[in-house]
Amino acid sequence: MTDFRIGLIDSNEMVRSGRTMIFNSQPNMQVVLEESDPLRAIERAPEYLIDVLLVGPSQFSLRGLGLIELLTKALYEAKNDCAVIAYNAFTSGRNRFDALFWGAQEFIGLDSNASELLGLVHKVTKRDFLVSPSELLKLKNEFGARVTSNHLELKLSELNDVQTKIVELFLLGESDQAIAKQLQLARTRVTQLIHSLIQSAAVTSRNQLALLLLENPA
Amino acid sequence: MIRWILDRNWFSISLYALAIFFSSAGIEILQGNYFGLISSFSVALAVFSSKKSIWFSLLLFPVSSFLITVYSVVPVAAVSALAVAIAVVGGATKGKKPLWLLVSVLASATVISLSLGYSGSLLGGFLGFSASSELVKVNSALFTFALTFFLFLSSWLVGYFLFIREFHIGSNRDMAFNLIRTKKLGLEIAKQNERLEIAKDLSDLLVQRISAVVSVTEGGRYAVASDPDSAKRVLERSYDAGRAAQAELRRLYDYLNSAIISHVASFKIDDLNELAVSFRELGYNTVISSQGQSFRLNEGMELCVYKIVFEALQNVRKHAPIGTEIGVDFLWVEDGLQVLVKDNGIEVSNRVRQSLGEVVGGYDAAEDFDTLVNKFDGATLAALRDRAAIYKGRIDATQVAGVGFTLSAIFPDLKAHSAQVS
Repeated sequence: MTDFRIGLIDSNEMVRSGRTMIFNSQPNMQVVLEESDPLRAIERAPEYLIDVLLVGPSQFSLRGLGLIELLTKALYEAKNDCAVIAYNAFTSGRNRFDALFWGAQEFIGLDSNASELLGLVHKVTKRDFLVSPSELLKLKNEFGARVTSNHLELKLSELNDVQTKIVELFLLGESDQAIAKQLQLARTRVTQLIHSLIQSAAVTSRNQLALLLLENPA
Repeated sequence: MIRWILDRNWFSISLYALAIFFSSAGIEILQGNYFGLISSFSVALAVFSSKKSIWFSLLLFPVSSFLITVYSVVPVAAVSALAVAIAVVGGATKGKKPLWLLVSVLASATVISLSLGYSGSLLGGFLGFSASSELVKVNSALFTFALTFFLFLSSWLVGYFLFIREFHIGSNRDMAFNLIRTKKLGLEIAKQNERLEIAKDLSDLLVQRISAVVSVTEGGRYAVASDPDSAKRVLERSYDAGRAAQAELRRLYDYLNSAIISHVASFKIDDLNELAVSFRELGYNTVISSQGQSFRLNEGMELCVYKIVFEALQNVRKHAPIGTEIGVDFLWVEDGLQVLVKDNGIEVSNRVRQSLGEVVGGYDAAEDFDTLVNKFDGATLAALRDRAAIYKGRIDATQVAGVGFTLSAIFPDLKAHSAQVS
């Protein structure tokens, strides 16, 4: 039984091949999509049942961040909630911030080893995955520009006390389940609130929402 | 020496020397002291010789001081003339040999103080005393020494700073030098920037290749554990990836160790007009002309042509005297371009030599033969030839007997090449 269905987007055939060998060697993982053309990837990926999509930096017609942005939007619009992991040749704070800012769930450098990659796949497939808020804040302070969203501001001003508490706990990095348990609510209520805030902010990921809210705490 | 004369470097310093001579000698003559002309002449000679023979000039200052003490009847005026002369020399020598100039000034002040100071003749008139006792004489000598040394030293510093102000701060000449220097640096920066960009692209490729090697090898480690038969395939792929990385590395290595030139720069043929103005400012009458219907060149070609003309102009400036006329002609034909940079440096040289009384005939058979046979070469010319060769161009430098040099750059297929590259 395959637990994780993986997609790979990279024009470098060798890198794809290496990653495929790693994933296919795992009993619970299977590479189901390989694509070298990023524009075709944006068309094809939302139609696939994929848990994690790995997106590389070197593309023929669309490079790096532009691809991440378009891909995450296409996935979001198709209601495909697969996680996107961006990667690049090297691990760096700047690359990680950019990837998260444009909608990826996480970033990993090709200089990281395979066990880290496999561990990350397990982590990001949790539906309420969020990069540690302290790390997000650190990245934002180092690389981020001040970004505001009027719709989000409006939405935040309309929150009641319980909802505000949900947002506060979300920004502390608590999982949806943990928040629901603390506030004695149904988990779906927490998930729905976070989702509506993501919509209001016109972003596609929890990381992006957190990056905005960490600047505009509720 | 001849070049120095041809460039008329003596002109301004001789005017200063004459002015000092006439003012100092005039005062002496008014006093009826014709012997004062000797010290005046010595001071003027010190000024005149300062530009070409600084050691002689520095030696003449103490000598002139001594002559002033012996022959001048108006020592205050003579010492003042000497101070002015030191100021002029301070400027003319551009701050060179400061230690020796200090020694010269010190010696001059000592000579004056030992003679005029000790006797009290220099200060007595001002301060109304006569050197009646030994103590007064010694004090007078010491005071005179301090005063003259301070005066001479100040004169030197004032002259030096006036020179800097005149020639190095915002003067037309200074701006012309700066412009040429800036253009030269700009060319170098453009070239380095382009090299950096290409090296960056190559290193990006290299990073991808190395990443691929690591990725395939790491994937192989996992695959072999579950499927031992895959080892051969993995090794083959790793080998291919490694070879590809090595090839990129080789390209980068070759590139960084070569002298590939820039194809991207901001310099255009039109910028040569500004350069021509600068050369005119420096005394080289530079005229740019164009014949035929020009066509659009890409940036690399514009830079190539600009660089060729720039180096040719620099060469004229290096070898030809001031007053040389330079013609830069662009001859556009249907598919190509010829650039001619001509100068009449030899002709101007000969003309000045004739005006100095030297017998200079027309060019002889030997010179004519040399013109036909000799090939001019050098590092700069070789670099320009390499640059032109990129666009299938050819560069020839020839001497026109009795006239000057001509550099010709011919690009027969520039239009077609421009279309291919852009």
